[in-house]
Amino acid sequence: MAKKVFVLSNKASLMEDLLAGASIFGETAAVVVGNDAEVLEKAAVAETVYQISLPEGYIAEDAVDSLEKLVKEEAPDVLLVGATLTGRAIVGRLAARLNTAVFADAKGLSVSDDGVEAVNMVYGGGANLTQKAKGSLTIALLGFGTLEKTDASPGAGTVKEVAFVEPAWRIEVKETRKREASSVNLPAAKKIVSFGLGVSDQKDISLIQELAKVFEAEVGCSRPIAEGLNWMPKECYVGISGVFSKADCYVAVGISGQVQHMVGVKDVKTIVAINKDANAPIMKQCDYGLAGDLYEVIPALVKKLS
Amino acid sequence: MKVITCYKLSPDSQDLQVNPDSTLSLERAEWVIGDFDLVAIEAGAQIAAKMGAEHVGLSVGPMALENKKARKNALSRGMDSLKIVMDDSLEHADTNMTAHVLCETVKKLDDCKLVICGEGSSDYYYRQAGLQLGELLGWAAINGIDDVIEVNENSITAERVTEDAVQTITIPLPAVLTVTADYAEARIPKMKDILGAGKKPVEEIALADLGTFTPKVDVMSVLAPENKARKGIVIEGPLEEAVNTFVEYMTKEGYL
Repeated sequence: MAKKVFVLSNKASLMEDLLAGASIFGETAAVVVGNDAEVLEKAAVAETVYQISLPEGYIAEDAVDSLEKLVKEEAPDVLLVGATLTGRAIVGRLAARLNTAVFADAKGLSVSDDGVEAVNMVYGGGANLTQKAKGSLTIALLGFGTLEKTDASPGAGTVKEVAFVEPAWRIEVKETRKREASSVNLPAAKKIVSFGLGVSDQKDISLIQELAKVFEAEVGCSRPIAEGLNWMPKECYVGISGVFSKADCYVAVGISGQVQHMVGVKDVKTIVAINKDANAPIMKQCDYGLAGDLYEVIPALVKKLS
Repeated sequence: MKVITCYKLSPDSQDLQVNPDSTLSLERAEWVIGDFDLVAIEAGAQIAAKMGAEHVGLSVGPMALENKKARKNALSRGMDSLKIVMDDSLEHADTNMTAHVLCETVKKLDDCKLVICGEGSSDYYYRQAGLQLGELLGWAAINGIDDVIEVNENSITAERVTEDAVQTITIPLPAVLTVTADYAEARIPKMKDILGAGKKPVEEIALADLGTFTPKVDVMSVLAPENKARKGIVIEGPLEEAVNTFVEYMTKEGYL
Protein backbone atom coordinates (compact mmCIF):
# COMPACT_ATOMS: atom_id res chain seq x y z
CA MET A 1 0.00 0.00 0.00
CA ALA A 2 1.28 3.46 -0.86
CA LYS A 3 2.30 5.42 2.19
CA LYS A 4 1.31 8.94 3.06
CA VAL A 5 4.52 10.97 3.09
CA PHE A 6 4.90 14.52 4.40
CA VAL A 7 7.95 16.61 3.52
CA LEU A 8 8.94 19.59 5.64
CA SER A 9 11.84 21.98 5.21
CA ASN A 10 12.58 25.63 5.74
CA LYS A 11 15.21 25.48 3.02
CA ALA A 12 14.09 25.61 -0.62
CA SER A 13 16.86 23.37 -1.98
CA LEU A 14 16.06 20.65 0.56
CA MET A 15 12.31 20.94 -0.04
CA GLU A 16 12.94 20.41 -3.75
CA ASP A 17 15.40 17.58 -3.20
CA LEU A 18 13.26 15.66 -0.70
CA LEU A 19 10.08 16.04 -2.75
CA ALA A 20 11.90 14.80 -5.86
CA GLY A 21 12.75 11.58 -4.06
CA ALA A 22 9.83 11.12 -1.68
CA SER A 23 7.20 10.17 -4.27
CA ILE A 24 8.75 6.71 -4.55
CA PHE A 25 7.35 6.00 -1.10
CA GLY A 26 3.79 7.03 -1.86
CA GLU A 27 1.55 10.04 -1.96
CA THR A 28 3.46 13.17 -1.00
CA ALA A 29 2.37 16.38 0.64
CA ALA A 30 4.61 19.34 1.45
CA VAL A 31 4.48 21.20 4.73
CA VAL A 32 5.61 24.82 4.68
CA VAL A 33 6.08 26.86 7.83
CA GLY A 34 6.01 30.58 7.07
CA ASN A 35 5.66 32.20 3.68
CA ASP A 36 9.06 32.04 2.03
CA ALA A 37 8.24 32.37 -1.69
CA GLU A 38 11.08 30.13 -2.80
CA VAL A 39 10.13 27.30 -0.41
CA LEU A 40 6.48 27.58 -1.49
CA GLU A 41 7.48 27.43 -5.14
CA LYS A 42 9.49 24.23 -4.60
CA ALA A 43 6.69 22.78 -2.47
CA ALA A 44 4.16 23.22 -5.27
CA VAL A 45 5.16 19.96 -6.98
CA ALA A 46 3.43 18.05 -4.18
CA GLU A 47 -0.23 17.12 -4.49
CA THR A 48 -1.06 19.10 -1.37
CA VAL A 49 0.83 21.93 0.34
CA TYR A 50 -0.02 22.49 3.97
CA GLN A 51 0.94 26.02 4.89
CA ILE A 52 1.31 27.21 8.46
CA SER A 53 1.49 30.99 8.47
CA LEU A 54 3.46 32.48 11.34
CA PRO A 55 2.37 35.52 13.32
CA GLU A 56 4.67 38.56 13.01
CA GLY A 57 7.96 38.05 14.84
CA TYR A 58 7.58 34.28 15.23
CA ILE A 59 10.08 31.74 13.89
CA ALA A 60 9.57 28.27 12.42
CA GLU A 61 10.64 26.70 15.73
CA ASP A 62 7.45 28.17 17.23
CA ALA A 63 5.28 25.99 14.98
CA VAL A 64 5.77 22.69 16.85
CA ASP A 65 2.26 22.81 18.35
CA SER A 66 0.76 23.51 14.94
CA LEU A 67 2.76 20.69 13.36
CA GLU A 68 1.74 18.28 16.11
CA LYS A 69 -1.91 19.06 15.42
CA LEU A 70 -1.44 18.65 11.66
CA VAL A 71 0.35 15.32 12.01
CA LYS A 72 -2.26 14.00 14.43
CA GLU A 73 -5.12 15.02 12.14
CA GLU A 74 -3.65 13.93 8.82
CA ALA A 75 -1.78 10.88 10.16
CA PRO A 76 1.09 10.58 7.66
CA ASP A 77 3.08 7.33 7.75
CA VAL A 78 6.36 9.10 7.15
CA LEU A 79 7.51 12.63 7.89
CA LEU A 80 10.69 13.62 6.06
CA VAL A 81 12.38 16.75 7.34
CA GLY A 82 15.29 18.66 5.84
CA ALA A 83 18.40 18.35 8.00
CA THR A 84 18.93 21.96 9.05
CA LEU A 85 19.34 23.40 12.53
CA THR A 86 15.70 24.48 12.48
CA GLY A 87 14.61 21.10 11.14
CA ARG A 88 16.46 19.38 13.96
CA ALA A 89 14.95 21.63 16.63
CA ILE A 90 11.42 21.09 15.35
CA VAL A 91 11.72 17.35 14.81
CA GLY A 92 13.24 16.60 18.21
CA ARG A 93 10.41 18.29 20.04
CA LEU A 94 7.78 16.86 17.72
CA ALA A 95 9.13 13.32 18.15
CA ALA A 96 9.02 13.69 21.94
CA ARG A 97 5.36 14.72 21.76
CA LEU A 98 4.44 11.97 19.34
CA ASN A 99 6.50 9.47 21.32
CA THR A 100 8.59 8.27 18.40
CA ALA A 101 12.30 8.21 17.59
CA VAL A 102 13.93 10.14 14.78
CA PHE A 103 16.10 8.64 12.08
CA ALA A 104 18.45 11.60 12.22
CA ASP A 105 20.68 12.14 9.20
CA ALA A 106 19.91 8.73 7.76
CA LYS A 107 22.06 7.94 4.74
CA GLY A 108 19.48 5.59 3.30
CA LEU A 109 15.78 5.08 3.81
CA SER A 110 13.54 2.31 2.56
CA VAL A 111 9.80 2.31 2.92
CA SER A 112 7.77 -0.81 2.26
CA ASP A 113 4.70 -2.64 3.53
CA ASP A 114 7.07 -4.30 5.90
CA GLY A 115 7.93 -1.00 7.56
CA VAL A 116 10.48 1.77 7.37
CA GLU A 117 14.18 1.02 7.61
CA ALA A 118 16.96 3.54 7.88
CA VAL A 119 20.71 3.22 7.59
CA ASN A 120 22.89 5.55 9.62
CA MET A 121 26.62 5.88 9.50
CA VAL A 122 27.90 5.51 13.05
CA TYR A 123 31.20 5.30 14.94
CA GLY A 124 32.82 8.00 12.85
CA GLY A 125 32.01 6.14 9.65
CA GLY A 126 33.25 2.81 10.99
CA ALA A 127 29.87 1.11 10.74
CA ASN A 128 26.43 1.22 9.20
CA LEU A 129 23.58 0.90 11.67
CA THR A 130 20.34 -0.39 10.17
CA GLN A 131 17.22 0.27 12.22
CA LYS A 132 13.54 -0.34 11.74
CA ALA A 133 10.81 1.92 13.07
CA LYS A 134 8.31 0.36 15.43
CA GLY A 135 5.47 2.89 15.61
CA SER A 136 2.92 3.97 13.02
CA LEU A 137 4.72 7.27 12.31
CA THR A 138 8.34 7.41 11.18
CA ILE A 139 10.24 10.68 11.30
CA ALA A 140 13.50 11.08 9.38
CA LEU A 141 15.86 14.02 9.07
CA LEU A 142 17.53 13.87 5.68
CA GLY A 143 20.33 15.83 4.08
CA PHE A 144 20.61 16.87 0.46
CA GLY A 145 20.93 14.01 -2.04
CA THR A 146 19.98 11.19 0.34
CA LEU A 147 17.02 10.07 -1.75
CA GLU A 148 17.28 9.03 -5.38
CA LYS A 149 15.34 11.38 -7.60
CA THR A 150 12.23 9.96 -9.26
CA ASP A 151 10.64 11.27 -12.44
CA ALA A 152 7.16 11.47 -10.98
CA SER A 153 4.95 14.09 -12.60
CA PRO A 154 4.18 17.12 -10.43
CA GLY A 155 1.03 17.16 -8.33
CA ALA A 156 -1.64 19.83 -8.13
CA GLY A 157 0.09 21.84 -5.41
CA THR A 158 -3.20 22.68 -3.74
CA VAL A 159 -2.45 24.95 -0.80
CA LYS A 160 -4.31 24.23 2.42
CA GLU A 161 -3.97 26.73 5.23
CA VAL A 162 -3.28 25.20 8.63
CA ALA A 163 -4.29 27.33 11.60
CA PHE A 164 -1.37 28.42 13.79
CA VAL A 165 -1.53 27.08 17.34
CA GLU A 166 -0.08 29.43 19.95
CA PRO A 167 2.74 27.62 21.78
CA ALA A 168 3.13 27.51 25.58
CA TRP A 169 6.55 29.15 25.30
CA ARG A 170 8.65 30.55 22.54
CA ILE A 171 12.08 31.76 21.67
CA GLU A 172 12.22 35.50 21.31
CA VAL A 173 14.62 36.61 18.60
CA LYS A 174 15.99 39.99 19.61
CA GLU A 175 18.47 40.39 16.82
CA THR A 176 19.48 38.54 13.66
CA ARG A 177 22.79 39.15 11.94
CA LYS A 178 23.33 37.57 8.56
CA ARG A 179 26.28 35.27 8.59
CA GLU A 180 28.48 34.85 5.60
CA ALA A 181 27.37 31.42 4.57
CA SER A 182 28.67 29.49 1.66
CA SER A 183 26.54 30.23 -1.37
CA VAL A 184 27.58 26.90 -2.81
CA ASN A 185 25.47 23.80 -2.41
CA LEU A 186 28.46 21.50 -1.99
CA PRO A 187 26.48 18.24 -1.65
CA ALA A 188 25.09 18.91 -5.14
CA ALA A 189 28.45 19.72 -6.77
CA LYS A 190 29.57 17.45 -9.61
CA LYS A 191 33.24 18.25 -9.18
CA ILE A 192 34.96 19.28 -5.97
CA VAL A 193 38.52 20.37 -5.26
CA SER A 194 38.99 19.94 -1.54
CA PHE A 195 41.95 20.73 0.69
CA GLY A 196 43.28 19.81 4.09
CA LEU A 197 46.11 20.63 6.44
CA GLY A 198 48.68 20.10 3.67
CA VAL A 199 47.85 23.70 2.80
CA SER A 200 49.95 25.47 5.38
CA ASP A 201 48.81 29.07 5.12
CA GLN A 202 45.39 30.65 4.75
CA LYS A 203 46.56 32.79 1.84
CA ASP A 204 47.41 29.65 -0.13
CA ILE A 205 43.69 28.92 -0.47
CA SER A 206 44.00 31.05 -3.61
CA LEU A 207 45.97 28.19 -5.16
CA ILE A 208 43.11 25.80 -4.48
CA GLN A 209 40.63 28.30 -5.87
CA GLU A 210 42.67 28.63 -9.06
CA LEU A 211 42.72 24.88 -9.53
CA ALA A 212 38.99 24.67 -8.85
CA LYS A 213 38.40 27.36 -11.44
CA VAL A 214 40.28 25.66 -14.28
CA PHE A 215 38.79 22.34 -13.25
CA GLU A 216 35.28 23.89 -13.11
CA ALA A 217 34.83 22.55 -9.59
CA GLU A 218 33.54 23.85 -6.27
CA VAL A 219 35.90 24.21 -3.31
CA GLY A 220 35.57 22.01 -0.25
CA CYS A 221 37.84 21.20 2.67
CA SER A 222 38.51 18.81 5.52
CA ARG A 223 37.11 19.40 8.99
CA PRO A 224 40.15 21.03 10.67
CA ILE A 225 40.15 23.73 7.99
CA ALA A 226 36.54 24.73 8.74
CA GLU A 227 36.40 23.88 12.42
CA GLY A 228 39.42 25.00 14.35
CA LEU A 229 41.22 27.09 11.74
CA ASN A 230 37.97 28.66 10.49
CA TRP A 231 39.48 29.27 7.06
CA MET A 232 36.34 28.09 5.31
CA PRO A 233 32.62 28.17 6.19
CA LYS A 234 31.40 25.13 8.11
CA GLU A 235 29.10 24.13 5.24
CA CYS A 236 32.20 23.40 3.17
CA TYR A 237 33.76 20.56 5.06
CA VAL A 238 33.44 17.03 3.81
CA GLY A 239 33.26 14.08 6.18
CA ILE A 240 31.33 12.28 8.86
CA SER A 241 29.78 15.32 10.55
CA GLY A 242 29.82 17.46 7.41
CA VAL A 243 29.05 17.09 3.73
CA PHE A 244 28.50 13.70 2.12
CA SER A 245 29.37 13.99 -1.53
CA LYS A 246 28.12 12.00 -4.49
CA ALA A 247 30.24 14.01 -6.92
CA ASP A 248 31.62 12.58 -10.16
CA CYS A 249 35.11 13.68 -9.26
CA TYR A 250 36.64 14.67 -5.93
CA VAL A 251 40.16 16.05 -5.85
CA ALA A 252 41.66 15.90 -2.35
CA VAL A 253 44.66 18.18 -1.99
CA GLY A 254 46.85 17.80 1.09
CA ILE A 255 44.30 15.56 2.81
CA SER A 256 45.78 12.54 4.56
CA GLY A 257 42.72 10.31 4.26
CA GLN A 258 41.46 9.59 7.76
CA VAL A 259 38.30 7.50 7.91
CA GLN A 260 36.24 10.43 9.26
CA HIS A 261 36.98 12.29 6.05
CA MET A 262 36.85 9.41 3.61
CA VAL A 263 33.33 8.29 4.58
CA GLY A 264 32.13 11.62 3.20
CA VAL A 265 33.40 10.69 -0.28
CA LYS A 266 32.68 6.98 -0.39
CA ASP A 267 29.92 7.53 -2.97
CA VAL A 268 32.09 9.70 -5.21
CA LYS A 269 32.68 8.19 -8.64
CA THR A 270 36.36 9.11 -8.96
CA ILE A 271 38.60 10.12 -6.08
CA VAL A 272 41.81 11.94 -6.90
CA ALA A 273 44.50 12.71 -4.36
CA ILE A 274 47.33 15.19 -4.57
CA ASN A 275 49.71 14.54 -1.71
CA LYS A 276 53.41 14.89 -1.16
CA ASP A 277 53.46 11.61 0.74
CA ALA A 278 53.04 8.70 -1.69
CA ASN A 279 52.32 6.50 1.34
CA ALA A 280 49.59 8.67 2.86
CA PRO A 281 46.44 6.62 3.66
CA ILE A 282 44.49 8.47 0.95
CA MET A 283 46.81 7.11 -1.75
CA LYS A 284 45.44 3.63 -1.06
CA GLN A 285 41.83 4.80 -1.12
CA CYS A 286 41.80 6.84 -4.31
CA ASP A 287 41.51 6.16 -8.02
CA TYR A 288 44.35 8.47 -9.02
CA GLY A 289 47.02 9.65 -6.65
CA LEU A 290 49.43 12.31 -7.77
CA ALA A 291 52.45 12.17 -5.48
CA GLY A 292 54.05 15.58 -5.25
CA ASP A 293 54.29 18.85 -3.37
CA LEU A 294 51.03 20.68 -3.86
CA TYR A 295 52.93 23.97 -4.02
CA GLU A 296 54.64 22.70 -7.19
CA VAL A 297 51.93 20.45 -8.61
CA ILE A 298 49.02 22.88 -8.48
CA PRO A 299 50.72 25.80 -10.26
CA ALA A 300 51.92 23.35 -12.93
CA LEU A 301 48.43 21.91 -13.31
CA VAL A 302 46.80 25.31 -13.44
CA LYS A 303 49.29 26.43 -16.07
CA LYS A 304 48.63 23.37 -18.20
CA LEU A 305 44.87 23.59 -17.93
CA SER A 306 44.52 27.37 -18.41
CA MET B 1 20.68 25.72 42.29
CA LYS B 2 21.95 23.09 39.86
CA VAL B 3 23.05 23.11 36.24
CA ILE B 4 23.05 19.63 34.71
CA THR B 5 25.27 18.70 31.79
CA CYS B 6 24.53 15.48 29.94
CA TYR B 7 27.31 13.57 28.25
CA LYS B 8 27.71 10.21 26.60
CA LEU B 9 30.43 7.60 26.63
CA SER B 10 31.10 6.02 23.25
CA PRO B 11 33.55 3.40 22.11
CA ASP B 12 36.57 5.08 20.59
CA SER B 13 36.04 4.54 16.87
CA GLN B 14 39.79 4.06 16.39
CA ASP B 15 39.52 0.85 18.43
CA LEU B 16 36.74 -0.84 16.45
CA GLN B 17 37.55 -4.22 15.01
CA VAL B 18 35.80 -5.73 12.04
CA ASN B 19 35.00 -9.43 12.25
CA PRO B 20 35.21 -11.66 9.12
CA ASP B 21 31.40 -11.50 8.77
CA SER B 22 31.53 -7.67 8.75
CA THR B 23 30.07 -7.39 12.23
CA LEU B 24 31.98 -5.21 14.68
CA SER B 25 33.80 -6.09 17.83
CA LEU B 26 33.86 -3.42 20.51
CA GLU B 27 35.69 -5.64 22.97
CA ARG B 28 38.97 -3.83 22.73
CA ALA B 29 37.48 -0.39 22.44
CA GLU B 30 38.04 2.16 25.13
CA TRP B 31 34.86 4.05 26.04
CA VAL B 32 35.49 7.77 26.04
CA ILE B 33 33.62 11.06 26.31
CA GLY B 34 33.00 12.42 22.82
CA ASP B 35 34.65 15.66 21.67
CA PHE B 36 31.35 17.53 21.43
CA ASP B 37 30.42 16.42 24.93
CA LEU B 38 33.76 17.65 26.31
CA VAL B 39 32.80 21.07 24.96
CA ALA B 40 29.35 20.71 26.57
CA ILE B 41 30.94 19.94 29.94
CA GLU B 42 33.10 23.04 29.59
CA ALA B 43 30.07 25.13 28.62
CA GLY B 44 28.12 23.72 31.58
CA ALA B 45 30.98 24.54 33.94
CA GLN B 46 31.20 28.11 32.66
CA ILE B 47 27.45 28.66 32.83
CA ALA B 48 27.18 27.11 36.31
CA ALA B 49 30.01 29.40 37.50
CA LYS B 50 28.20 32.39 36.01
CA MET B 51 25.04 31.42 37.92
CA GLY B 52 26.82 30.43 41.11
CA ALA B 53 25.20 27.01 40.68
CA GLU B 54 26.32 23.47 41.39
CA HIS B 55 27.39 21.64 38.22
CA VAL B 56 26.03 18.11 38.01
CA GLY B 57 27.02 15.62 35.32
CA LEU B 58 24.53 13.10 33.97
CA SER B 59 25.26 10.13 31.78
CA VAL B 60 23.08 7.22 30.76
CA GLY B 61 24.21 4.19 28.79
CA PRO B 62 25.45 0.61 28.93
CA MET B 63 27.62 -0.91 31.68
CA ALA B 64 30.71 0.65 30.10
CA LEU B 65 29.81 3.63 32.31
CA GLU B 66 31.43 1.72 35.16
CA ASN B 67 34.72 2.95 33.69
CA LYS B 68 36.36 4.85 36.58
CA LYS B 69 38.78 6.70 34.31
CA ALA B 70 35.95 8.22 32.28
CA ARG B 71 34.11 9.26 35.45
CA LYS B 72 37.23 10.97 36.76
CA ASN B 73 37.75 12.59 33.41
CA ALA B 74 34.28 14.18 33.54
CA LEU B 75 34.68 15.23 37.17
CA SER B 76 38.07 16.83 36.54
CA ARG B 77 36.49 19.28 34.11
CA GLY B 78 34.55 21.49 36.46
CA MET B 79 31.78 19.15 37.58
CA ASP B 80 30.82 18.88 41.25
CA SER B 81 29.11 15.50 41.14
CA LEU B 82 27.87 12.80 38.78
CA LYS B 83 24.67 10.84 38.26
CA ILE B 84 25.02 7.63 36.27
CA VAL B 85 22.30 5.37 34.90
CA MET B 86 23.83 2.11 33.61
CA ASP B 87 22.03 -0.72 31.90
CA ASP B 88 23.03 -2.78 28.92
CA SER B 89 19.56 -2.34 27.44
CA LEU B 90 20.69 1.24 26.74
CA GLU B 91 23.51 0.23 24.41
CA HIS B 92 21.82 1.15 21.14
CA ALA B 93 19.08 3.21 22.79
CA ASP B 94 17.24 5.37 20.27
CA THR B 95 16.87 9.11 20.67
CA ASN B 96 13.43 8.85 22.22
CA MET B 97 14.32 6.18 24.77
CA THR B 98 17.49 8.04 25.77
CA ALA B 99 15.50 11.23 26.24
CA HIS B 100 12.94 9.43 28.41
CA VAL B 101 15.65 8.02 30.70
CA LEU B 102 17.36 11.42 30.94
CA CYS B 103 14.00 13.05 31.65
CA GLU B 104 13.16 10.76 34.55
CA THR B 105 16.62 11.31 36.04
CA VAL B 106 16.43 15.11 35.74
CA LYS B 107 13.00 15.04 37.40
CA LYS B 108 14.59 13.41 40.45
CA LEU B 109 16.91 16.34 40.98
CA ASP B 110 15.34 19.33 42.61
CA ASP B 111 16.35 22.94 42.18
CA CYS B 112 17.42 22.60 38.57
CA LYS B 113 16.13 24.66 35.70
CA LEU B 114 18.90 24.38 33.17
CA VAL B 115 20.27 21.36 31.33
CA ILE B 116 23.16 21.57 28.86
CA CYS B 117 23.75 18.98 26.14
CA GLY B 118 26.46 18.74 23.50
CA GLU B 119 25.91 19.15 19.79
CA GLY B 120 25.88 15.40 19.24
CA SER B 121 27.47 12.19 20.42
CA SER B 122 30.66 10.96 18.80
CA ASP B 123 29.20 7.53 17.97
CA TYR B 124 25.76 8.29 16.46
CA TYR B 125 25.75 12.08 16.17
CA TYR B 126 21.95 12.24 15.93
CA ARG B 127 21.81 15.68 17.63
CA GLN B 128 18.34 14.88 18.96
CA ALA B 129 18.35 13.71 22.58
CA GLY B 130 18.65 17.18 24.14
CA LEU B 131 15.70 18.58 22.21
CA GLN B 132 13.53 15.58 22.98
CA LEU B 133 14.57 15.78 26.64
CA GLY B 134 13.46 19.41 26.88
CA GLU B 135 10.11 18.67 25.35
CA LEU B 136 9.51 15.65 27.62
CA LEU B 137 10.29 17.80 30.66
CA GLY B 138 7.86 20.39 29.37
CA TRP B 139 10.72 22.89 29.28
CA ALA B 140 11.97 25.16 26.52
CA ALA B 141 14.46 23.39 24.25
CA ILE B 142 16.69 24.89 21.61
CA ASN B 143 19.82 23.95 19.68
CA GLY B 144 22.79 25.75 18.13
CA ILE B 145 23.71 27.78 21.24
CA ASP B 146 27.11 29.34 20.71
CA ASP B 147 27.26 31.58 23.77
CA VAL B 148 25.20 32.24 26.88
CA ILE B 149 25.30 35.99 27.34
CA GLU B 150 23.13 36.47 30.40
CA VAL B 151 21.18 34.31 32.84
CA ASN B 152 18.26 35.94 34.62
CA GLU B 153 15.70 34.62 37.07
CA ASN B 154 13.28 33.53 34.37
CA SER B 155 15.21 33.62 31.12
CA ILE B 156 18.50 33.23 29.34
CA THR B 157 19.89 35.47 26.65
CA ALA B 158 22.07 33.57 24.25
CA GLU B 159 23.63 33.59 20.82
CA ARG B 160 22.44 30.95 18.37
CA VAL B 161 24.22 30.15 15.14
CA THR B 162 22.08 28.89 12.27
CA GLU B 163 23.26 28.00 8.76
CA ASP B 164 23.01 31.59 7.58
CA ALA B 165 22.61 33.84 10.61
CA VAL B 166 23.61 34.59 14.16
CA GLN B 167 20.58 35.20 16.36
CA THR B 168 20.45 36.83 19.76
CA ILE B 169 17.62 35.03 21.49
CA THR B 170 15.84 34.98 24.81
CA ILE B 171 14.88 31.55 26.10
CA PRO B 172 12.42 31.15 28.95
CA LEU B 173 13.55 29.03 31.91
CA PRO B 174 13.51 26.17 32.68
CA ALA B 175 15.30 25.08 29.52
CA VAL B 176 17.49 22.54 27.81
CA LEU B 177 20.18 24.04 25.59
CA THR B 178 22.31 22.12 23.14
CA VAL B 179 25.58 23.93 22.56
CA THR B 180 27.73 24.04 19.43
CA ALA B 181 31.18 22.50 19.08
CA ASP B 182 32.53 26.07 19.03
CA TYR B 183 30.96 27.13 22.34
CA ALA B 184 34.23 26.90 24.24
CA GLU B 185 37.52 25.11 24.16
CA ALA B 186 37.41 22.04 26.40
CA ARG B 187 39.86 22.55 29.26
CA ILE B 188 42.89 20.41 29.92
CA PRO B 189 42.43 19.29 33.54
CA LYS B 190 45.24 20.24 35.92
CA MET B 191 46.81 17.74 38.31
CA LYS B 192 44.84 19.30 41.19
CA ASP B 193 41.56 18.79 39.27
CA ILE B 194 42.41 15.17 38.49
CA LEU B 195 43.28 14.42 42.12
CA GLY B 196 40.16 16.21 43.35
CA ALA B 197 37.93 14.36 40.87
CA GLY B 198 38.33 11.06 42.73
CA LYS B 199 36.79 12.59 45.85
CA LYS B 200 33.65 13.94 44.17
CA PRO B 201 30.36 12.10 44.69
CA VAL B 202 29.06 9.71 42.04
CA GLU B 203 25.54 8.39 42.37
CA GLU B 204 24.49 5.30 40.42
CA ILE B 205 20.79 5.18 39.71
CA ALA B 206 19.20 1.88 38.68
CA LEU B 207 17.22 2.05 35.46
CA ALA B 208 14.38 0.11 37.08
CA ASP B 209 14.03 2.84 39.71
CA LEU B 210 13.30 5.35 36.97
CA GLY B 211 10.56 3.38 35.22
CA THR B 212 10.07 1.09 32.27
CA PHE B 213 11.46 2.22 28.96
CA THR B 214 10.73 0.77 25.56
CA PRO B 215 12.76 1.28 22.40
CA LYS B 216 11.00 2.96 19.47
CA VAL B 217 13.17 1.23 16.87
CA ASP B 218 14.55 -2.24 16.31
CA VAL B 219 18.25 -2.49 15.62
CA MET B 220 18.58 -4.78 12.60
CA SER B 221 22.35 -4.78 12.10
CA VAL B 222 25.60 -2.96 12.82
CA LEU B 223 28.01 -3.74 10.01
CA ALA B 224 31.26 -2.40 8.67
CA PRO B 225 30.59 -0.47 5.45
CA GLU B 226 31.47 -2.02 2.15
CA ASN B 227 34.14 -0.01 0.49
CA LYS B 228 33.99 0.72 -3.18
CA ALA B 229 36.97 -0.73 -4.98
CA ARG B 230 39.24 2.10 -6.12
CA LYS B 231 41.76 2.01 -8.94
CA GLY B 232 44.69 3.00 -6.73
CA ILE B 233 46.83 4.38 -9.56
CA VAL B 234 49.70 6.36 -8.02
CA ILE B 235 51.48 8.78 -10.33
CA GLU B 236 55.05 9.59 -9.34
CA GLY B 237 58.06 10.99 -11.11
CA PRO B 238 59.34 14.33 -12.38
CA LEU B 239 56.81 17.15 -12.04
CA GLU B 240 56.04 17.85 -15.67
CA GLU B 241 55.75 14.20 -16.59
CA ALA B 242 53.52 13.43 -13.60
CA VAL B 243 51.25 16.38 -14.36
CA ASN B 244 50.96 15.32 -17.99
CA THR B 245 50.10 11.75 -17.05
CA PHE B 246 47.55 13.02 -14.57
CA VAL B 247 45.90 15.29 -17.15
CA GLU B 248 45.73 12.38 -19.59
CA TYR B 249 43.89 10.26 -17.03
CA MET B 250 41.48 13.08 -16.20
CA THR B 251 40.78 13.64 -19.89
CA LYS B 252 40.17 9.94 -20.42
CA GLU B 253 37.72 9.94 -17.50
CA GLY B 254 35.92 12.87 -19.10
CA TYR B 255 36.59 15.40 -16.37
CA LEU B 256 38.55 17.78 -18.56
